[in-house]
Amino acid sequence: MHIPDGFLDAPTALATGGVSAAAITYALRRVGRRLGDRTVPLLGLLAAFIFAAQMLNFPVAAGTSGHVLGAALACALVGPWAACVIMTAVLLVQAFGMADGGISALGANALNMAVIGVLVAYASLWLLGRVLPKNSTSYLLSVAVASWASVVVASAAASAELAASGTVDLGIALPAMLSVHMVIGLGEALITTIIVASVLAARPDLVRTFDWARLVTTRGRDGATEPVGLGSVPKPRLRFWSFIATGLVIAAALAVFLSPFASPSPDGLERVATDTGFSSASTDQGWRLSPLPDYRLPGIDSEGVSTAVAGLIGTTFMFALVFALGRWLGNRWGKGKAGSRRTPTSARQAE
Amino acid sequence: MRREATQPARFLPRAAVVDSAIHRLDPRVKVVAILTLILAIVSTPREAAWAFVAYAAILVLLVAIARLPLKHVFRRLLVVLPVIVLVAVVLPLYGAMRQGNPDPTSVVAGADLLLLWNVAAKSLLATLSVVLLASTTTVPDILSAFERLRVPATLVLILSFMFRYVFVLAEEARRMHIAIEARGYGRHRLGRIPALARLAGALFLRSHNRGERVYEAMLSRGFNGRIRVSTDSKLHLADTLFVGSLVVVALAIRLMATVAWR
Amino acid sequence: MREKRGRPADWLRRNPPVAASDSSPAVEVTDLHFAYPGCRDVLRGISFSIHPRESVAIIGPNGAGKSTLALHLNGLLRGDGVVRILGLAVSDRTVRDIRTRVGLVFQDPDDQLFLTSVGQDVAFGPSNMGLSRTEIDERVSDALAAVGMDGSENRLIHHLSSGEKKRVALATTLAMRPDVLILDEPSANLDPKARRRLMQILKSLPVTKIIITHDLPLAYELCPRALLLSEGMLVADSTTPEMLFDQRLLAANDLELPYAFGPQARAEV
Repeated sequence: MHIPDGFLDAPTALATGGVSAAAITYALRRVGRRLGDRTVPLLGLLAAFIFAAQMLNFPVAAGTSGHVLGAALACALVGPWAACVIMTAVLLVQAFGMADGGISALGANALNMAVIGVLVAYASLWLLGRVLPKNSTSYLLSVAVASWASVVVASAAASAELAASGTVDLGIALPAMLSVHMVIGLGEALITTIIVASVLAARPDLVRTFDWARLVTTRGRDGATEPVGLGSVPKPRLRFWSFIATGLVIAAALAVFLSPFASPSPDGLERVATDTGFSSASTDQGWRLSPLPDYRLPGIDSEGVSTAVAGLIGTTFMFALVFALGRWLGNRWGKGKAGSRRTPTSARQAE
Repeated sequence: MRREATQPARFLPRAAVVDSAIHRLDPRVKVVAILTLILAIVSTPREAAWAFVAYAAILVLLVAIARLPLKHVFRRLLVVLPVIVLVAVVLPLYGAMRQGNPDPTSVVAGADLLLLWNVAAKSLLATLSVVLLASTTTVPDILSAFERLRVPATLVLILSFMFRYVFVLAEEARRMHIAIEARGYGRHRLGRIPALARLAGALFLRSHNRGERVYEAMLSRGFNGRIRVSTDSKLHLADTLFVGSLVVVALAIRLMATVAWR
Repeated sequence: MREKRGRPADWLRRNPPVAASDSSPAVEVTDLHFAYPGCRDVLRGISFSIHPRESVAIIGPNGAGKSTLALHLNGLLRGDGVVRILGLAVSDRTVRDIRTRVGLVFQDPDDQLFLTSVGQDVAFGPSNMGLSRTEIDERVSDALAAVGMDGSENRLIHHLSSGEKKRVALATTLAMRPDVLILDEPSANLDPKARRRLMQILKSLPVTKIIITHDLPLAYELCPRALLLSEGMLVADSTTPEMLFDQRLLAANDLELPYAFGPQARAEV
């Protein structure tokens, strides 16, 4: 996602440079206040870590390998401000040392990856942290979503910058970048989540965004309260939630990428209605009440983009509904069994 | 006192330690000069082809004075090629989509070829500039230049520590990787992913612990919150001449390019 | 079956500490207790004193608390009890001063060499002492000369071999001209040649030396006196030959001499 030199015009480069410089200065100050003298050695080492992690080759499809961007990984492990500084350091080294990303594009790249990528990850973690139950599995799910979101939104920002520079039209760049990065985001989500999971298993106190002090206590079988276990991440549940997250992402990707190419011809029902003549009986009133009439979004000219975004919104809404329904059902059915639980042997022996 | 020629930035093969007039310049002027050149290059309107030729001539001249091995320079330039090739390949499709005509075999418009020229010329020349800088200046010197050019000291230090420990971490990762491979991955190729991710997790913990130990080492030698990585070296005549002439020439080309195409 | 470990008092009675020499102690530790937060005691009442220019080895099994003890001697850790360096009790007020007088060489030189070039790292200590540029440069070249790395100021640290890194790590502390030098496992990971070189350098330094080591032959060669630490307690304090050739003492504390050490080692106690 690194934009090379020559793709951005001067105003865009300067504007993004100014914004990211301000953001990074602020992040430096926040981190400095928290870590004090430790700032330099800790962040230096962790920046080296992210840099090294980016070099790891994760095998994806046959023959190809993927790499992790690391914005969400850094954010999950050390918090947003430290992550912003770390990603900036990594980008600087890449630009000056490896010509990966242009010098004039540093402002934009930093804005996309070190600022926006990190902030989106943090917002996702925070939001999901409040909505989901407080245990390690839910946390890892939020890490997965945060990683995916950070990659996707960062790529959207990159396309916006390319469009603002007049290099590529937004209507073409945005769907292209989004669809590609929605797939890349899957890899990012998977890799980031497993890395965070392994750190969480060994040293949960070092995962800054995992607020383990707020763990909910549950009633054990013999009635005593105990904190939700942290020791190791239960594997089957991790796989389950990864599956859910992956499904969501694939659905969203399909909605965004394929929907603009959907056939404009009337579908089965519409066709039948027209043929048999009762379509005129329906009114157009209903459309005005719908938020997304005919899959178009008000305010976006390009039909492709409009459909894609509408598809995304629709899919997300659908998923949220299904999820809520599933949760409710699960709770109903779960509660029903409480009264009929058998007392375990140990409790009986204590009597 | 004239600076001694030192090992240039880390990715030059050790056998090719080179010395030249450019190597010996104060790193500050090199950073300022190269940055000015890059900014001039990327902001030049693409129609002024002659300007890019002029920039290229300057860069080739500097590369020659710096006695950089050409093979090394070309290898570094390869980094930017995939993007250019991608643009070139996508160009017909892009042009067609813009015109609303989904036929990729239609003739590519001149406007779109200009786009290709724009990105190709600018990214190649800018990359060449960065390669020139990185190959004639050691990393400690670049960081020292940053510090004296008022980049926030904390950030400069973080970069310094990062550079220092990247190799240490890479070595640790390499050893862990060998240990994993020796135990086998499991039948599926994708079985590597959990193993690698666990390697990364372990690497994070090691990095964190090492960060704490480094902090203790810093305290042991009296760390009081500030470190300077730069020295108070003074600029020489050669330094001033270099940066002065390069900045003036770059700006002149840039201005003429605008004027000629207004 | 493992021998039961003797109580500290028994050992100390049989092997009294080396007689005190001149003036006040360079290092004086009185009843030091320490526990990491949430863990049991690591140091359980340690007392000893070391006189100027003495060379003392600290030996003991892993987990005995040797490295933890070292971190107390320059104030990185603060436990209960008194630690005095050259008469100064370690406290927030004195810690800066003490750190210029105590040079601690860590086990892993990569932890200690954190800047990019050799010159920068060796200059780090002196530059924190408020010295002038010329004084700093002089100290840097003296320190590098003392460890046999003259002229390496511009070399990058990650290009050094492990033996060279150890020597530069030592130089970083020598540049501060400490009165007390503490080395944690100096010969670890060194090949025989590098080890021999390091030992020659250490022998040539006229400072008080405390050497934490598993390398018992090194302890024997460099340090006339040795302290034996086990499970957080000072189990023995005597001359090195007496300690090392006391087979029962070593065995009781999970130590042993290298097999080919010499006829005395094989003598039945």
